[in-house]
Amino acid sequence: MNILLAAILKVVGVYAFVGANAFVLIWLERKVSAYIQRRYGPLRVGGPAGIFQSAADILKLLAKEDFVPGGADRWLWVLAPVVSVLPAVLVYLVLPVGRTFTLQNLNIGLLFFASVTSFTLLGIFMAGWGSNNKYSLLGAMRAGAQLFSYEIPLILSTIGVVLLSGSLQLQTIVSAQTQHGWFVFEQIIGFIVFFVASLAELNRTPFDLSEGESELVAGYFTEYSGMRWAMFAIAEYSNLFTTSALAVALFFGGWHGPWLPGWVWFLLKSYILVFVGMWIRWTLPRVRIDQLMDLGWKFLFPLSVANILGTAFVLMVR
Amino acid sequence: MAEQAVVVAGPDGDGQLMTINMGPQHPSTHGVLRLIVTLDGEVVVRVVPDIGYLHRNFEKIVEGWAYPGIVPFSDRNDYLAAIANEVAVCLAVEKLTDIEVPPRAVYLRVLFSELQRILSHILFYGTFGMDLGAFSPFMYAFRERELGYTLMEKATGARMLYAYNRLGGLRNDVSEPWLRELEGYLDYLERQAWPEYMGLLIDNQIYRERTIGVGKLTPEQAIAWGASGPVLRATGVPWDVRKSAPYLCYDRLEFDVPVGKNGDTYDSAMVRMLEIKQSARLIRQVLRLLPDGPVLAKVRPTVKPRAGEYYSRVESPRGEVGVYLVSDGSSRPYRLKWRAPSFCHLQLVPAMSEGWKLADLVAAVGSLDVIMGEVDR
Amino acid sequence: MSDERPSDPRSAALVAARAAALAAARKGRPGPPAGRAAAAEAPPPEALPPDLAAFGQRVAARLPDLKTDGGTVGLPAFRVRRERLLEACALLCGDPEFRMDYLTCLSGVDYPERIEVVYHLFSIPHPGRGLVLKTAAPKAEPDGRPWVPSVTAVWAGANWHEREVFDLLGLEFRGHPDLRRILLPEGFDGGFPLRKDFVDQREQRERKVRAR
Repeated sequence: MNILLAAILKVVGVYAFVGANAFVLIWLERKVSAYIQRRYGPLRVGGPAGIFQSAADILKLLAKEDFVPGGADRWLWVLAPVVSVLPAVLVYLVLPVGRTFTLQNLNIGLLFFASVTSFTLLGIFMAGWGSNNKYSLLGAMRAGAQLFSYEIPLILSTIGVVLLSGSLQLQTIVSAQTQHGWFVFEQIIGFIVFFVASLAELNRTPFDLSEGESELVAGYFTEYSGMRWAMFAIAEYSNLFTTSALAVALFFGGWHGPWLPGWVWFLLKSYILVFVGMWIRWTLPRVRIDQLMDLGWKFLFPLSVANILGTAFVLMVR
Repeated sequence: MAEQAVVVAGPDGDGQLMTINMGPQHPSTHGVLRLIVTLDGEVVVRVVPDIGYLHRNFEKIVEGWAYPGIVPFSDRNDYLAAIANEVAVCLAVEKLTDIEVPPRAVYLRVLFSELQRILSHILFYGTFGMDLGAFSPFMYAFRERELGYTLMEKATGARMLYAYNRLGGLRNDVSEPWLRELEGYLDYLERQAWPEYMGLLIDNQIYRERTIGVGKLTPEQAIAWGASGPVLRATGVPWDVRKSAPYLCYDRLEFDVPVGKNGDTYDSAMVRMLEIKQSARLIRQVLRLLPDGPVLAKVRPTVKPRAGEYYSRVESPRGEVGVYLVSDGSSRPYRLKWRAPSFCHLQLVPAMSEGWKLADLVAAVGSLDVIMGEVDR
Repeated sequence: MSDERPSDPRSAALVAARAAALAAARKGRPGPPAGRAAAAEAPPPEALPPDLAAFGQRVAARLPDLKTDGGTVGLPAFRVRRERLLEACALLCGDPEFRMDYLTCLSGVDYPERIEVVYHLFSIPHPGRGLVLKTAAPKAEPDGRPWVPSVTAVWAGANWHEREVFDLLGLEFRGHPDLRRILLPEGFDGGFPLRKDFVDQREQRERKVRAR
């Protein structure tokens, strides 16, 4: 019984956090973009900083007409948002939030993370194909190529950390950093590759070709509106947080830090990385698809392999 | 839609090609432009621009109007640089009516034309960045444009469509405080805004990779297709109506004409950025040389040019705006043909982008800086 | 998108009233300038600057098919018969003495008996030069379609300009690679708007404006 109760609490807790995270990040994105663009962003809803803007957005989205586009492949189209949200939520299981607190401290935590996030690709394809819309299909094709190409440097860049800490278990990796020092200093190349690849995985500018507004209207989620679209947005912001959280766990010492409790440090560091991601999004233009592929295959991939070889060599020598 | 044209729906060829429709409502194309694009994957195999969505039959309407009314109406053609349109019409009518425009008005016309050039190029910078996926330069550009709008409003009474030129000069004079404010605006632009623009977008590596070598035109192509303005100068041809066929008082002012080398979108944008500085230089000269006097000549209410024809040319921010006026000696034109630079430039889209990728097509169309108002009239 | 002829008798009456008003308005006007005839009566135009005048004389000397046309201010102007148009254009564009490689404006003008095409030519290597070339297509053709040869082979940029003249004036350009309507919708069968006798044949509704 205890196990069942614990499981239910975990699930509810995760979904609550995902919802709260999306709520905060949507507002944060709008504020960050506004201040970078020298304007104010949401100003009215919920006091002078517009903190309840997300609530207003959610109410609006709930009130929208629910429809399935004519000619769409019904079940594919309807299930695509679900398939997108699922991996975004599942990876919370293995995040090392506090000193001893992880929802499910799998000893293959990192591998679990990598394999589950691959499912996002499936959701995008289902959306693009099921929409029966050329723009969506083009967007999904682009996204497919992009996500598939950047999975590899993303995962490979973390291998260096695995070598240094000797484990795939995320809690162990963080504990190793408390004695060893944060891995970002030794694995700086790994971190950079990881960060760039994760921006591509998240479909964020400069790698947002699949939703390139100026070219494809909205790419694979052109045909979604209302809460269905909101599911994609929630998935995106959730992924943004979890990827930053993973980067923090792997490279920045996770919950490690003086005075404050571990989970506070964890959240703080994760949100700083989220902010950096937003900062980049609103500053840079978009790359072209062939430039994107070049960057992934001809630059990041060899770099991450070189990182592994270099780390292994140094470890052998020590 | 019958006859030739292009199949709009469905895959064609051997099933590998896909024809999509970009526009007429679209977040990127500059106004109501429709591009029928045939794609092989990401590569553009064929692109056919379809225009006419903003056709308001300007040329027919003005055949029934008295000349003074045509001047403000022409604002609506190139609505981003409205003064240039008015000047073109005024030059044509004033030539055939032998109206002597007072020198102060001539210099002020130059001042406003150059100010419009600055504002138009700033807008180009913003929209070009947005075409490439950078959202912030657009906001920065509009901050400066807002300041420019305020200046224009103080001088002419309107923010975007001015009705400021009259046959024989300008509607009203500008005040000394306004001229000082304009100088302050130019200082701010040159010292602060321009370096910000360069740093934010033009010097960015991703921007350079998206624009260098993209949308290339050779000088021969540009001349044969009738390109003008920054599009022609980006290919290396040093042709500027202000230098080749000087009007107003441009022959008495010193300025350089930025010329590109490769004819790609990078050069096109760079030419416009440098023209902002040259326009600021021109305005400062005008501020120094501005003579005193009236700004409007005494013109009879009924303007009757002599019978004859005249082609007036003006360098607008987009290129050469021409007004071919056929007058039959009455108070209304017999024929007024508007030569719009964007109309000629849109013909270049297939040459610039066939064989390139979809993203390059968007960049190429953006770099032409077309305004559908003057394409369709 | 084709336009319906007015089916409603009130609408047809409105169209007829418009046509009558158009004819009445044109009666009061001095009429179109008729080229050389009008120029002979009009005050003499100002003289061209000397180098332009000399250029005009060189052109006239080299191309005997061109006849000087009065009435144009600021540039030397010539008329040519449409049968000799392409030759003249090819010579003006390609010959190293002239190099008029820049066609900036191609306009169509509707006159009572003919439709004129006016070409404004300039030269990139020689900025001081300019030329106006005119040709005409009589409206009285056996099949009712006035035509003029297309100059797209000489200046590629004439393409869309000629399409526009075809669209708005109904002048056919023989040899044009893709002659179809450009500004008006493809299926528009309501006539040619820029012609002087054009009356909008589409469904008309009476509009009442109440003074308040």
